[in-house]
Amino acid sequence: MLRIAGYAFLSLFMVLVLGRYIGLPIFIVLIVSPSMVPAIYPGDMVLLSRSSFDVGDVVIWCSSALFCVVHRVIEINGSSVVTKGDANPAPDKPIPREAVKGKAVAVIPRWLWIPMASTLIAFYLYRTIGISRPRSSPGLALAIVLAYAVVTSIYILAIPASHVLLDGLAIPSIDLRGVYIENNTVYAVFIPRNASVASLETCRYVYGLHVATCTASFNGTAISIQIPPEVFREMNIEGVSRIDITIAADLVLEGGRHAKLISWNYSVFHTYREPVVEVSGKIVLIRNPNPGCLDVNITSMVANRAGDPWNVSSRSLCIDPWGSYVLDLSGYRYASIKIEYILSGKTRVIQRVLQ
Amino acid sequence: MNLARVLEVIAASTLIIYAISALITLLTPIYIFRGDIDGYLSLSGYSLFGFGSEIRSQMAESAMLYTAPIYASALFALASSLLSILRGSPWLLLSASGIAVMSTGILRGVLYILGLVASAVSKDPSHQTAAGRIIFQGTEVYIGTGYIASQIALVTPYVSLALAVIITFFALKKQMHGV
Repeated sequence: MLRIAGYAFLSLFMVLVLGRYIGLPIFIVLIVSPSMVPAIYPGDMVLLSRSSFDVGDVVIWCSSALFCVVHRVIEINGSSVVTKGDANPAPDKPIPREAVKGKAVAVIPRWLWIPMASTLIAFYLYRTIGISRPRSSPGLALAIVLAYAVVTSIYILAIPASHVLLDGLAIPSIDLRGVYIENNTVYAVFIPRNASVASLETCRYVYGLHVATCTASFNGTAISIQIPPEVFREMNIEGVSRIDITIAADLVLEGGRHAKLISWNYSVFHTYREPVVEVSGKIVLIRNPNPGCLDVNITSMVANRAGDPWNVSSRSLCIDPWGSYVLDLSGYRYASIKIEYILSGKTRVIQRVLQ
Repeated sequence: MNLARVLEVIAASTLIIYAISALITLLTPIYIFRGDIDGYLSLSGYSLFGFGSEIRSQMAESAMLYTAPIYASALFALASSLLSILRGSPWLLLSASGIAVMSTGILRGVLYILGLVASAVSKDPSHQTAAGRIIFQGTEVYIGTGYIASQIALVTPYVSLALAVIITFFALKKQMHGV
């Protein structure tokens, strides 16, 4: 009678373990992860039923026949379900509703089922095989090996294997939000994640066929690189509009380790703007709205009486960045000017008759 | 002391070596990590810290649960071997050796799982973003005592099983001939 009860119990247990695979309405799984602590501990067994579930229920969802997760439902959005382990800091990725295979209906704590199972197995061996009074037979050896094979197989099948290799590994990173140029400074703005720039090891920029080393300063999220005015002037004369900046930076990571950032070419574009020429009577104001000086050649033609030959004078100069130049021809009755300047490698001319 | 008894003692000793090496495999670190990720992986626990936070591995936790049959096998092998040396019990030795051989399959499996986790831990996290290439210092992996012990635990059961089969053959022959 006891033997029959033992076989019945073992069969029921096996059926419940295999229930997950053969589609039974109820089945049991063994928990291996502490993600549901304190509700469920590793080693606990959970009895699940294939019934409807709601937010707050503990469910099992499987991404494949072998890989399953037992977590709590925190959100249901139509056909997708979001679950989270009680002890996990973040929720899992949304899963389709059909991936949920069952709802937890009972937890069998490990402190209850392991001693019970051990006692039952010991008792069974004692009564049926007679392990307390060893009999010398190959059959006994075979029986022990087979018993081990069966129990081990059931045990291994009951463990829902997890395919999550590493969880909680936040690899520090630094992304680029954008690069822009303002006045004579190039700004590279970063989006750091558990990392910040500790120091700049190298900084260089290329424009046209020139390569130069840059000096840069940085705060936690942005690097600012000063471009000398001469560079803008050369770029304008040569008709170059692009500056490529490359940096190598030492990053300090969360936890104190270091990493290195070798940047791509951060390209910024800059073209000179037209000078502003304002004429007021016979006073001419030329403003340079650029970060580098503007090469101009000003030719003035003046005369005091009609019929007199023009008095022509010419001067070449470089108007300072953001600066201006004033030409006062108010001492003459007749005056005109010709302003020649270089813009993006091409010579342009502005002519004005001053009245 | 006849040949069968000598072989039995050798087989039992081999099985004891298996049991001890299996327990060392289960209880001591298999992989030790130094670098971006610090810590260890063993079949009885793990500790991984990287970039200021604790890292968990559900796969390693599964592997730990799979080791229960190996514990059982090692303890059974130890008890059977001692009994066999003291009292002589070739059948018990045969069953313990058979179980030990079976448990090497599980041991290979859990070592493979830990190997996967170790590969993931030591994987170079260097990556590219819009900012550029981020190069990390990396994580160095060292083999722990458990890994060395596992190589012994994976071999010895086959030796003891082979000897146990011979001993069983002698015992059966003895029974059949009534010698």
